[in-house]
Amino acid sequence: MDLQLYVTYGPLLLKGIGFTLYVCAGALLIGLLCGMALCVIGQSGNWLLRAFYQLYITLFRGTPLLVQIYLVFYGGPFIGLEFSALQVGIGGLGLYCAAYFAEIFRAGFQSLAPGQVEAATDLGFSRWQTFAHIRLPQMLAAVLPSVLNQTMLLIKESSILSVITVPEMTTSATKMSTETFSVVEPYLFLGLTYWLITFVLARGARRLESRLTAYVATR
Amino acid sequence: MNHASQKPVIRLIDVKKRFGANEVLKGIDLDVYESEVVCIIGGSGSGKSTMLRCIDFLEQYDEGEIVVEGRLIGYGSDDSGNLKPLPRQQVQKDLANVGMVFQQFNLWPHKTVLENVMAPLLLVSRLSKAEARQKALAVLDKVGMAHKAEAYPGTLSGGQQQRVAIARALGKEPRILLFDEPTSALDPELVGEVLKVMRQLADDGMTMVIVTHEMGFAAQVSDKVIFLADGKIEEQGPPAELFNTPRSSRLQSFLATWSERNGTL
Repeated sequence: MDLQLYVTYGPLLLKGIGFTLYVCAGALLIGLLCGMALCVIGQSGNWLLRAFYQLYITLFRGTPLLVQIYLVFYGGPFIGLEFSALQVGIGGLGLYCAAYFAEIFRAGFQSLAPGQVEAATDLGFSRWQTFAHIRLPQMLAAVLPSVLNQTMLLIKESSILSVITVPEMTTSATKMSTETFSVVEPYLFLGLTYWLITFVLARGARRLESRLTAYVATR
Repeated sequence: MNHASQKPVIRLIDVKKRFGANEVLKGIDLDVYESEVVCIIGGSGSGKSTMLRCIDFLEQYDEGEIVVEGRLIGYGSDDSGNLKPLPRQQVQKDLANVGMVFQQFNLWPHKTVLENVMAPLLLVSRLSKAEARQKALAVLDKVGMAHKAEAYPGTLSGGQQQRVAIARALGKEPRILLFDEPTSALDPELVGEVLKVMRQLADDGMTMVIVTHEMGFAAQVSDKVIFLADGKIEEQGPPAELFNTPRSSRLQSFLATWSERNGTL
């Protein structure tokens, strides 16, 4: 172990961590919002919207993220689609995860007893009020563990973005490795940092979960 | 009771309901008058719950008319005079004086008892938070559940949950309450506390339509008992008449089966 390497490459590694957090936060936001929108579309009464949902889910879940971002970033310019690496990275990762989030949300909504919605209807709730006050909060509490799982996958999958030159931390570590012919120092650092990020996230999610599901725990 | 001078508050005229090819209601006619307590009895699959749910328009009936306090429920005439389904908002407005109590209580588990009762007061009746709270505590007190205001439904017994559900339905000050087998999901020792609340409501003059298997309660509290069989009203009348001198063979055998299991009425 040559600890001096960490001093030399410290700024590059820190910058990489910053980009990883930035990319993941952006992708998570896109993934959750698009996932929710997709989920609503998938439950629509319109068959065309439902068909779109099925197509989206099967395409994004059925092909590797690597292939998706590679095609858009390197193949896009051939058909006039030019995006920066960061745009493809955040957007691609977000839209990829949206498919998974949509399916998680769908299952969460289905786990709700239908009688609760009937009670809301009887009491005069509008469809939106029923969604916002009855269905959504319970769905979110129910799916939190699955959402956390998917978010951890998202963070680890973000390492793939190094192949399209997003300057995130896998890119930094790879650069450090090739420039210094070191292997243990950069990749040990990389593994530990991914672990640390997901560890902190899991602890936070555990807290949120116990708050959101306090009503279940009291049973 | 003599209703000659009164108009019915609920009137069903030849109501029919199908689920696919299966006709569940085959033409129901029924009048319910103000402050009347009507119990609906019958075997499973006889259509009694469906009939109740049609009145609250949780099920859309296919034919006939359901008129509540003079308003046709669920359908309206368009410009050329044809009947067409009304938008949800209009149906809810027409049913504003009707409350429903469900077999499975259907409380919202992520809200406390107080929040369950307050939510419709805030969101639908648009009361201020202070007003809603005051009113919610008042109706909870009425069913003897004010002391559990801060509890989550999951921590309560079935009987307590059902009493909270009744309080929630009372919040919007309905003139008519529909009960869909309100005690069927309860352990036997918890049935009494719910029936006691219902009896109190009946004494206060609430118009009530109750689908029930509690023959004793039906005999004591109701003004009229309806026996439903195979999607039709087979027999109806005052409880004493219906239970003591059943005319139709179907009601006779239904009551005989019930007595075998539960003892005499």
